[in-house]
Parts: sequence; structure tokens; C-alpha cells
Amino acid sequence: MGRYFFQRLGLLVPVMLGVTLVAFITLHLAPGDPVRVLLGELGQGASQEEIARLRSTLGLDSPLPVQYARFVWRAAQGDLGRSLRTGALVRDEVLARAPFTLVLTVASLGVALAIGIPAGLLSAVYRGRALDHAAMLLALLGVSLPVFWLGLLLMLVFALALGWLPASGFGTWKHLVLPAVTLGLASSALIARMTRSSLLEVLGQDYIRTARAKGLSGKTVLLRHALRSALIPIVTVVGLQLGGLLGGAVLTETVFAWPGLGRLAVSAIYSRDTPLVQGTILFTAIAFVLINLAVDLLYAFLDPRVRYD
Amino acid sequence: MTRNLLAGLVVVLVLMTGSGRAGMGAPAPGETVTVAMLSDATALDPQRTNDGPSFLVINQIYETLLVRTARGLEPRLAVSWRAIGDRTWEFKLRRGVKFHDGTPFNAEAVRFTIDRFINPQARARAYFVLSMVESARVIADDTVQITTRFPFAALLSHLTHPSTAVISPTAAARFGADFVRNPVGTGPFKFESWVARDRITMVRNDDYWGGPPQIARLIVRPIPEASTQIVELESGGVDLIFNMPADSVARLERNPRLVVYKEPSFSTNYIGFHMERAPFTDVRVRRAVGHAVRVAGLITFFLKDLATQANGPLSPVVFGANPDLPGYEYDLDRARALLAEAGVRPGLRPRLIIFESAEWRRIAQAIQAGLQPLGIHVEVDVLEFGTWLSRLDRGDFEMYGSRWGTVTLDADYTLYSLFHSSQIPNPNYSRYKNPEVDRLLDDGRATADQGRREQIYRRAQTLIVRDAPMVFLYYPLSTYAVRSGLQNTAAPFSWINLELRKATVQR
Repeated sequence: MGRYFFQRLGLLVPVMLGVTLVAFITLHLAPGDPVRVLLGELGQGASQEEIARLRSTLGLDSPLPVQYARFVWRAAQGDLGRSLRTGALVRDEVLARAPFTLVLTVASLGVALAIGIPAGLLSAVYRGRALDHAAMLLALLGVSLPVFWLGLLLMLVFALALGWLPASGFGTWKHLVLPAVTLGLASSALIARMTRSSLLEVLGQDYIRTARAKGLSGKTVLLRHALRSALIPIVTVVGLQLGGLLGGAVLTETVFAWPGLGRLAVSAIYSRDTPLVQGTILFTAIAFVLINLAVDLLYAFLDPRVRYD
Repeated sequence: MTRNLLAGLVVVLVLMTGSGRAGMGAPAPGETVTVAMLSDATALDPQRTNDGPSFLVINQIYETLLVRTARGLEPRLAVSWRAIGDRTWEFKLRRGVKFHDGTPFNAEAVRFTIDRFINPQARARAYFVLSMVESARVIADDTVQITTRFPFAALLSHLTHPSTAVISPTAAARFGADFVRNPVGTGPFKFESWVARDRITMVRNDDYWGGPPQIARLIVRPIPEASTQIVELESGGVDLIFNMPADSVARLERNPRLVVYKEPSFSTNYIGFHMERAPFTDVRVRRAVGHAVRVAGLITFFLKDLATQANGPLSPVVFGANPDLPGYEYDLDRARALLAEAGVRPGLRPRLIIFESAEWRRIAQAIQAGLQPLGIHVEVDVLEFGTWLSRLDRGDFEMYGSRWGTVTLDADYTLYSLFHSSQIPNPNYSRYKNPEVDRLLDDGRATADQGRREQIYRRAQTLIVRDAPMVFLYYPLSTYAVRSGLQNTAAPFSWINLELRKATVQR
């Protein structure tokens, strides 16, 4: 188990090199020059001389392989450099935004689980009946609704018409409700569908019939015997969602002006702020790998047959 | 790293469970006003930034030597000024003014600010604003002289640009590179805190030389989505939003709890030509395009009258703008005749580059529709802003859509940059070259007499409109909406000049 754990951790190194290299190449292949974007905000002119000067100050005049090697060398020493745009340390910028994203992620996942698992359960138990169809129709809607539309709709109802919740921004727990529900609804739909199909598969197995035959109540069979075995695919989906959400939910954060990593990444891309893009991507990649590792370890706990030796 | 992350998480959680803004200092007595803008500031050091959101905040915390109002140039930190010879100006400074950190404002602070601005090792981001300055000299504690490398009549106007705001020398030295996040100026509001992409909080400067503002706390929130800004304004989450989408203005105007302001701005929207690319090398073709675009319709239907039709490169609020330019009337027959004269046959496919925005998409559609009957099929490239800039720099276009703001409100700022041949290829992207215009623009810089300068610029604009390096479309209005309890606000010529010194709040 320990060996497996460290092997997986070791995988982080090639993953980190891979994602930063891809991000670096993509950013440089894309048209647009960070120096021009920096100097040209109001559309006012900076001379060619000024552009060249700033480019050399920022170290952007070296050949690309040199720039990347420099980035890796410094990153290995824990220095992710400074944002081209704001001059702030990339590490500080990313770490300052990460808690906001983490809070939103956990809350929306809570919403997703609280809705998704019961909905999936009911759907599986009442398979083929009206309740099942209704739940799955809602799930389909939940997956299909664009987040920004749903977000605005919720905002119009709960902030403007009813005045119960603030429309956007960060502040008290009330500010968290709308973005968490918006984000959670889409995931809950996915989780509900996964729970349903996974449960249906398990419910058809022999040991469930046995459990029923020996006189256990329907509830015990469902929750104790069936759900636990059905959890593995659900946990996988939840893990993937969690990893994705940690990268920042760009649309939800934008609609609700939530100060998370998603908006940080997008504005960094728009301003061709390579160090900042690298920093956010690194953080997301690490989070993703660690969560997947946690999910794999959780398999062993949920299913005693799974061993990592 | 993990420890920092955990600490941050704890702070975030504490903030959320508290009544709101725990740990951010006790609220000052009086009213809080919240203002929304589309993106966050990038830096709050006037010399380390050149974007609207940063300047909006900088204008609350810092002050320039002069300001330009509808009445002309007026004193701010300088009380009077006079020319000494043709390259030097002497400024008498306001006395008894202190920076927010207690440092006295004086001639030394002005000298420090200007030296730092033009320092060859670390020039200001908006260096072009003072690139003509040679030196600043302290004459007395309240007297400073600024000398330019060549006679430059628009210097006073340039000293109204927010990048030239006077900074506290002690604070700049104390914070070093972190001065961008710890601004210290002389303005009506003092910086309190900055939560990136969430809010910048300022508090009233009780020692403000012009008398403290009534607003006790000023919060500026970046809200990237315009629809969200509108919901926030209508539900009372924010008190003021800028530049609302044209389609939403009528609805906001019907809301009794809101007041919508529409004011002339210093900007101009235009379509420029690449004058070295056929067929736009021929002035008749460029004029034909001017006659084929139905600007009045564009303004009424697409912009909901939130703009006035342009007849030249300068908005009427700019010093030196020529009100008597003929402009280009919508006249398809005339356009056809001009094209025939120039020997242009149908089937042209010029590329028009614009940056992604609802407004520019609509303009591009109007241009496409207008030129279609002439047999010109415009291919529109809608680009992300950074890509648009680099296409402009590479000269990779036949036509380009752009907006230019005359931030200093002096004709030189725009005419010299866009139409002087020394500015080819950037920012004179049209490659416009007219020796007579060059000479006039040089004269305009060297002439001290403002009346004569005005005549010079009027003549230059007449020539420019005749040569048609661009089709000047419209001067957008600067719009903002406020909760009706917030009164006596102003945003002269642009949202970045938001002015709350005299604002009052009645809830």
C-alpha cells in the first residue's frame, strides 16, 4: 500500500512537467503578445522602443526553450515567478484564490450529493414508474441547463424578486448559496444518473436476492447491501467532478463574481500572463492527481477485494 | 505552501461565518457606497498600470496637478502655473496638503514622482504621457518647474492624466515593489484593503484638503458579467454601475429607484483602412466606404441613441475639436460613382478585424450590410483582444475597427498618435502620411497660444477628414446608473473619472 502510494505521488513529476509544457507551448502558439496587452489597455500607443524595453525587463526576449527551462529550474526551487500583469508572486496569487475555490467546490459538492444520491436511489427503487421518469427528466434538465443561464435565473428569483440572498460576490454564507446551488445542480444530475444505473446493476445480483430471502427489510437491503457496492462508480464520478471543480468553475465564478481560481485562470489567459497560467494549471493538476489518488485508496476501503500491493 | 493554503482557508471561513467583513477594521460611521466595474484593477501605483479599472481606483486615492473640466483646465494639486520660456512651466503648489501617511505634499514630492516616471531604468507603463519631459526641479517648497526636451504646448493637459498622479515618496520607498498594492496619495479616499477579484475597500480621508467627502466607505467590486451588475444594482447590492448594455438602459430608466446618466465622452469609434493596401490606397475608395455606411441607423437601432454621430476624429468635448467638419453623408449613388471613378470592380473581399464585443459585432454587421450593395464583401474577423492587438501590430488587415479615447482631452494626444507619419505603424495603424498634416501637428505642439493651437488643429482635422484614413462613426456616450439615494456624483468624459468628492447619500 505504502509503495503504491509513493509510486502514485512520483507520477506527479511527469504530470507537472507535461501540463506546464503543454500550457507553455499553447500560450506561445496562440496569437497575442503579453507586452502589447500590458501596454495597450486603453488603446493608447506605446512606442516600439517601449515595447522592446518592457519585453526585455520581463525576460520575454529569450528563446522559448530558455524561457521554459528557466521556469522549470525556478519552479523546482519553489519559485513560480511573478505575474506579468500585476507583478505579484504567482504562488501568492494562486494560494490566495484557492481557498475561495475550495469552499465553493465543497459546498457545491455537498449540494450535488444531497440531491443526487437520494434522487438516484428513489429512481432505482421505483424503476419504470412515474417517480423514476420525473427524477430522470429533471436530471437530464440539470445536465443540459447552461450554468450561466441557470445562475442568472436563480439570481433574478432569489436576489431581485424575493430579496432573500445577495446576487453576487463573496461575504457571508449567504453569498455562497446561489453559486453552490448553480454549480451543484449540474453535478447532482450526473450523480443521480450514475447512482441509478449502478444500483440497478447491483439490485439484480444474487446476493441481494439472498439478503431479501433471509428476511431483511427492503431498507436494510438497499442501504446496507446494495448502496455500498454501488458506491464505487459513484465515488469515481464524484472524484472526477471534484478534481474538475477545483480548477475553478469559470462560468459560475464569472456570473457570481466569485473570486476563485477559474476567473484568475481566464484573465491570466486573456492577458497572456504565462507565469500565472502555469501556476494555476500546476495547482489544478496537483489537486486532480491527489484527488484521484484518494479515490483509488477509497476503493480499497469500499471494496475489500481491491488490494494495492 | 500547504500551511499558507490552510491559513487562507481559515480566513475565508471566518469571514463567511462572521457578520460580514470581520478583521477588516471597524466600519467608519456614515454611509458605504459600492461601485461595480467589469474587471479588477491590476495595480494601484499610477506609474505601474495603464488600464481603466486601475485608473478608476487611482482617481479616488491619488490626485494630479491639474484637472480638465467642462470649463477647461483647473487647479487640483497645483494652484497656478505659468510658462517660463518655451520649454519650462512653473507650478505653484497647494499648501498644507498631506499624503495619507502624513508625508507633506510639496515640490519634492512632485519632483520625485516625475523622476520616477521618466527613470530610464524603470519607466512608467504609460511612459508616452510624459516622454517629452526632460526634468523636474524644486524651486521652493511650494514651487516646482518642469522642463520638456522640446516645446510642448499640451504639457498641462498631460498633467491631468491619472498616470501622472503625485505619489508619496516615503510610501514608495517603504513599500518598494509592493507599492502597487499599498497606494498612498492625497485624494479624498484612503486605501484600506484589496481582496483580488472581489473588492477594493477605501475609507474617507478625514483630513482631505477640499473637505472630507460624505461617503465614509467606498467599495469597488469587479463584477465581470453585465447582467449580474444590473441585478446587483436593482437589488441594492451595488449603488453605481457603468456602461450598461444599450438594450438594458431603457429598462433601468423606468425603474423609479434608479437614475441613469448619459454624458458625452472623450472617445471616438471608427473603422480604419490599411492605406498601403489596394484598393484603399485610393482616397476615392475610402470616401466611398464613408458614404455607404448608414451611421444614423446604426446609432438608433443598435446603440439605442447612446452615441452621437461623428464628423471627425475628436469628440466635441476635446480641446481643439472642429465642430464644422462636413463628415460623410449616407449616399449610395455617390459611393458607386466614386468606386467607378477609381476603377474598382465588384467582388472585393477586404478583411475587417474587430475585437470581440457585442457592440463591435453589430458595427461590423452594419458595415457588411452597407458595403454589400457596392459589391464589396467584407470578411469580418472577430478576435480576442490580445490577438486583435497583434494583428494590428503586424498590419495584417485591410480594415480595422477601433476606439480611441482622448484621455488628456487635448487634440494633440489623439491627432499626433493616430495621424502623424512618425507614428507609423503603431499607433498610426492606417499608415496615414500627409506632410501638411505632419507640419500642422508639429506646430500645434510648439505653439504656446491656445487660440492659435485651436486653429491649427481645426485645419489638421479638415485635411484628415478629406483624406479619409478612417471612417469616423460615432462618439459613444458615457453612461452610468446609480441608486437614486446617491446624488451629486459625476464622471466627466469617462467612467474612469468617477468623482465622489461632493456625493451625498440618502437611504
